[in-house]
Amino acid sequence: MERNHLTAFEVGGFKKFARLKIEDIGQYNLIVGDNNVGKTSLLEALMCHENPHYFLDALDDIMLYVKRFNNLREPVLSYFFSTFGTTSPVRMYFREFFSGEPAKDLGFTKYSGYRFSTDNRSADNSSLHEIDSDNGQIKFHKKEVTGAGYFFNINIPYIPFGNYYTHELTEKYSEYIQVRVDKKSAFVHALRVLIPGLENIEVNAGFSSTPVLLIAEEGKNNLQPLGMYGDGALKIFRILLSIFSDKQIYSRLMIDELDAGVHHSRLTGFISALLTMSKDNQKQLFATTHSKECIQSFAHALKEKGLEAEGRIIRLADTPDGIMAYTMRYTEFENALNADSEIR
Amino acid sequence: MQPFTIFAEGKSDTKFIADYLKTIFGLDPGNVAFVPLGSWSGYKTEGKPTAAIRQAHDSGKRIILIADADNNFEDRQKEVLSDFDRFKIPVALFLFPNHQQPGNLEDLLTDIAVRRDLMACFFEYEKCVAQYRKKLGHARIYAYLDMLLSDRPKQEREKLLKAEHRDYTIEQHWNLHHHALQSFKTFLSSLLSLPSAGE
Repeated sequence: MERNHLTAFEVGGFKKFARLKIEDIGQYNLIVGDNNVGKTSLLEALMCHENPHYFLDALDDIMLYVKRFNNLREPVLSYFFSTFGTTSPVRMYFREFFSGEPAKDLGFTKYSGYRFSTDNRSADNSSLHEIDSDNGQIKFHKKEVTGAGYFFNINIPYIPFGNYYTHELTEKYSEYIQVRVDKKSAFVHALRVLIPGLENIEVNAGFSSTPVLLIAEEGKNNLQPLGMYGDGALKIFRILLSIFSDKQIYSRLMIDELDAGVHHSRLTGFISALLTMSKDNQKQLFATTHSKECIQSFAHALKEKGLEAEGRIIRLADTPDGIMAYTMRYTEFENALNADSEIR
Repeated sequence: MQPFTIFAEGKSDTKFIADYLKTIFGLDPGNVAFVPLGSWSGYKTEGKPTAAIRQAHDSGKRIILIADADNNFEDRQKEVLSDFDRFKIPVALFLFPNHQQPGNLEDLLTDIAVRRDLMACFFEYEKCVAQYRKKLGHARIYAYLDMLLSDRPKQEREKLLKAEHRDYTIEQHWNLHHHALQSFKTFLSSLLSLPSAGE
């Protein structure tokens, strides 16, 4: 484990988490659990950052991805606050534990639905988060983060479910990968897990009114647009961009529905490549799944790469005490898989 | 009745228990939570309770653990109860065949097999091959069923021989009212009649 990787994590007042603590986190973590138990919410919570502005930008970006709002007139933080105790001040907090270091705390407090402030000592631009009451409606000050993402132009390491081809991929690829020979070579190599015949990736401005990514394959004369290679290829392209991009603020990578769009026969290879890339780039991986095949492939890939010691399955479950997290090490989930025990 | 989760060693144990609960207690197997452990000690990992055990406990479920006594009933019982005492998690434990003697599920199934004439053949066979292999429990049950299902089409027979598809409710094959099951029935009766915390 790298020094900046989480060993434990606690979140409270965030969406449906009154208080959730996850212990014994590994470098490669697969999050499982029933529908609506909070798997995606946990990925969102893991976007917390000691600079609250980055965190806000990330949440803002996530909402754009999932199209929860058509425009960002709604308060960003308001959506993520839990509904617990809405009539009194509510605190949304995050606590990060790192190996051999004291816990790092980050929190936001919501005062009676009128005002947000940040608890973070290092943040001085708290006016950014203030809102006023206007005829019972909550509005942000003009300075609030309402832009269409990339407000700070940081790399948001969040790969959402069902996000298709957009020109943002071309822009990022051109900016971070195309011009760097070493990065491009590693990028192309990694993408071959889903496009085995891949020879080169080109940015072509003459193909349509805006530049597009074109794939050159061995033995094929015509270049094909990346968008034609399906969800799996787009997903790994996004993952690779996130790992290889500059402006890395986070040391972790969050992927929602890891196996979506990937054929089961390619899952182990896909996850093996992902583990290798995460290892080589010192990334801590958090991904969700509903699929037993994905869990099995995760176990196979960990074994294949000799990374069993750092693999975890984190199961979220609804209990009378709220949502709880149960961390399983490799031996435990391998045993459960062998016994055909349900661990999703 | 307090909700419960049954932790059993494997698929054959799980199917047998499900069929028994259905026949004797009228419980729909679809409403019973089963967790196969893979081995008798599959409730723990690195000396700690597994996630499945912790989750069941946190969810207010009574934990029922059903495993084989194997070679020494007292030792197996002592180790399991001592582990759960250390976990501070209550457990209801039953060890096959009868929670008194060494043995396993296959010993119990041998006792409740209806066709004694067939079983007698296997006993003779086992005597003959004893110098090569002592315990033939799994093979005995498989061979017993294979004989009884010999009139079925091949694909169906192969499916019904698999642990998770065996049908212990067929009265011509198994006697689920056999006295060898009395201690198991008493164990389950006591648990199923327990009121939940709010009752």
